[in-house]
Amino acid sequence: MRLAVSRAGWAALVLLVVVTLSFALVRSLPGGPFDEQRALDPVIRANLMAAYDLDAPLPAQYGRYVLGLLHGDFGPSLRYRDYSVGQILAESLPISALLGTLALVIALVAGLAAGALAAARRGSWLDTVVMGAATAGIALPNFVLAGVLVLLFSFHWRLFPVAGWGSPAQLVLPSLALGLPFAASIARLFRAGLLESFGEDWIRTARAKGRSPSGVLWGHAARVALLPVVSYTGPAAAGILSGSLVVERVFAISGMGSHFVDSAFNADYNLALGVVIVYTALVSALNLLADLAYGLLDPRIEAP
Amino acid sequence: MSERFLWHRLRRRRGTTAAVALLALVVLLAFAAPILPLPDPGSPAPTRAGRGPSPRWTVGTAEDRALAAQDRPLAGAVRDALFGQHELAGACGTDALGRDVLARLVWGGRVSLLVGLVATLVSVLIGVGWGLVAGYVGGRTDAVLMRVVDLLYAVPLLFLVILVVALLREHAARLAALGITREVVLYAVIGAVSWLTMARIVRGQVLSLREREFVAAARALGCGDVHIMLRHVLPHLTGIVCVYLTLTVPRVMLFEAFLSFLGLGVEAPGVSWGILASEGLEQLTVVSTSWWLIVFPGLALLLTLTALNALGDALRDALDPRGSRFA
Repeated sequence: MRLAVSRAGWAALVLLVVVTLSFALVRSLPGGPFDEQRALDPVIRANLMAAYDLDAPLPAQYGRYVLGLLHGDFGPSLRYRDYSVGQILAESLPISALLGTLALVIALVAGLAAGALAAARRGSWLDTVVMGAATAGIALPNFVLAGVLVLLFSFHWRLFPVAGWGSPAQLVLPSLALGLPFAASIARLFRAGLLESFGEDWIRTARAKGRSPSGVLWGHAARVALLPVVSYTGPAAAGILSGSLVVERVFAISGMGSHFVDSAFNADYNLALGVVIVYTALVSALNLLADLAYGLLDPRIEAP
Repeated sequence: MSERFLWHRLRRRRGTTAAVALLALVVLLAFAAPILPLPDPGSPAPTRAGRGPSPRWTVGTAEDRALAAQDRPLAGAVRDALFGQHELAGACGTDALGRDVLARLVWGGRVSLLVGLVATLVSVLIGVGWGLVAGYVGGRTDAVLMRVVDLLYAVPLLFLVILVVALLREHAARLAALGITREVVLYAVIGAVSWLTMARIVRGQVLSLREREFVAAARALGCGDVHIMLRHVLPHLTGIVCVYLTLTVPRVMLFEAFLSFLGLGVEAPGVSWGILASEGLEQLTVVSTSWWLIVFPGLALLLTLTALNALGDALRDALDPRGSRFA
């Protein structure tokens, strides 16, 4: 319990640091959301800045922003004039969350299966092929993978739609493009962990007592080999969220990632900050979950 | 350990020799790009647009020769001496503007490898410096420095970097006047994202090195702390730094490809593998799929980064005192 509380405190501190750092970074850079092609009349510009609260001294702006955050108010979008950031996030977060969850599920299922297969058939051609694919998977940018998937499955064999969001068929390719690179890492980690635990005494005991090889693998060796995979889930989730920046562009999905990229190009400070904050909160929560799961899985660690 | 022994240990892992050979080839090609008999990577040639892979050993056009000779007279002279007017055109096809894909791959490789190397060096400098100071000084300083690293680990640096680069693009002119070109920003920014793991690893290593006799001996002889850190402790870090350097370059190159896809990386008319891959993706339509525009840059990235990862893994296993049994 104490561990959970201290972790939650740490997560809150991280969030505060992220807000402050991003705020300072974004507001200290030259240029602004109103520096469009057409130069604005100075009076109009001044009015706009005052309306969006951008003319107050920085500390005051920061204070107002944090106060707003505590009330759940992310401020108005500086680009989409009729929307608040909260509204845009509420629209796009479920989309990104679904995509990310699917990708994570694919990563875990495919990764664990591939790793187990390779470990069980160690040294065979299957092992070589699977591990070769895994090594390649971590070296390929996910937008290249997305492009190849579209080339094969949308253009060549017309199995899936090219882009968009809404029907179940449109979920497949983006989730694969996002999740497979992480499946590769998970496969490598799981296989290494399994091979290491195969040499241990308790495995030999289980086999001696008559358990089948697959029973030994999944019932005993996997519990230990899962530990590095669980530790990796945190960074994997973070990677999936940042990978979504590119995958959402390729498949024209209007999730948080594509909103973030657009806001970076439009200097829409509030939206950019909002996405960063939500992203950090999600990753911190997932890291916390992963830590708790790790503690549960490994009996040598005290329960939190 | 001696080089022969290290090489022997490296070869124990499957594929290491192939990885090293591939990397040597890639670096050689990138280095030798100006003297290779290839068409100019930047000049559009509408008559040759959109062709699939069809290698031809032809005579280059007059404009190509003039362009090539412009920037690099010495390389141009060497190339003329070796290959005359001939060039290998269309080996990997041409793109929508008629530019030769193989030439763009080779020249793009130069840029990608350069960005990878320089940005990695930046991250090594920051990471090693940070870890060295934290590990050697210890105590409160160590705690503070490592807390900062933990904090930065949790911060989504990627997003902040994208924000910074996107917002700085608007003011490229003003920055260029200060001597900060877009490439320099890229190196600094990419390097700044990747140093955290290096710092942690180095600090761990320094913590154990600090207790060794040679450090105590140096201190007894009256050496100052800075001298000990730089002259005695640092050389012992080369092994582990090499391993993580080799493993960081692929991450950095992937990040550069990522930034290029978003339009924030190397600027046109420059070419890098990331730009090539994103161009290949952009022209993917139902009507005409020029598969060679995405497959070849993808292969280039895939093979090079896989080779680097394989080499890094092999180095890590070779230098690991426990000796990994699981290749």
